[in-house]
Amino acid sequence: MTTERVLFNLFDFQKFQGNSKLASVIAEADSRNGLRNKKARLTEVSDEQLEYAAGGMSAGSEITAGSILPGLSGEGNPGLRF
Amino acid sequence: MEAGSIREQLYIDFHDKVFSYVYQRVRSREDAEDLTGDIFLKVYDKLDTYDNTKAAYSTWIYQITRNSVIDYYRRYKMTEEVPEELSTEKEIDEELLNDETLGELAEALKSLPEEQRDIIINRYYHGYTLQEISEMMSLSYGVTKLRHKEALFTLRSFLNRA
Repeated sequence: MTTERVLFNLFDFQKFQGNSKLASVIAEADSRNGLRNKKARLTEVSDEQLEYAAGGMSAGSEITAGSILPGLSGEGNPGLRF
Repeated sequence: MEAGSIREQLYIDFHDKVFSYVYQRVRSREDAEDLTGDIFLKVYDKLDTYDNTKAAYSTWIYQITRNSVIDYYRRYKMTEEVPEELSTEKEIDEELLNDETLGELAEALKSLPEEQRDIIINRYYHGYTLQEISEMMSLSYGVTKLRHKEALFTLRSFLNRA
């Protein structure tokens, strides 16, 4: 039996048996994968999404108390007030 | 212990494990409940053939459960293949299937670098392909294949000892 087949069998048995030590190693890996995917999603924001989020503001725009970011306001969306 | 008490004890000890395993595989609560019922009928029916010198109850019931899931796939999931991690061969190495070996596998995985460990878990526990893993982990396919090979090489010596 190949190493790959044995690993498939052992991990499948784990789904039945739920060994606590192995469950903990798997949970740690899953947590790292979750973080990785989160990071990947953060880097995948498009230019249009960034422009929308910034509400068309340029780097030199000033945000003062009480101003509303236009990109986040509109019908059904009260916008963010500062 | 008489047969009736053994059946009752097996149901108490293993019902949740069987249901949970089956549910992960068939993804339908109704089918999982039906299949779990069928599995316990098989277990009770075969109780006379159980040999405690060959395998623990957990290994024996797992094998019956696993084979029932494979049969379910063949019978009802006509459009889906049996998952890769469920070998199409029904016979597996019973000697390896015990809680102690799973604990040793956990230790062996801990000895691997994190990247290799994650590749092994994603491949053999979650059933992703190496291509999918490379995308999930933001690695090139070539690097993923190499790390996978290195991890298998390390784990091979563990499996030979187990």
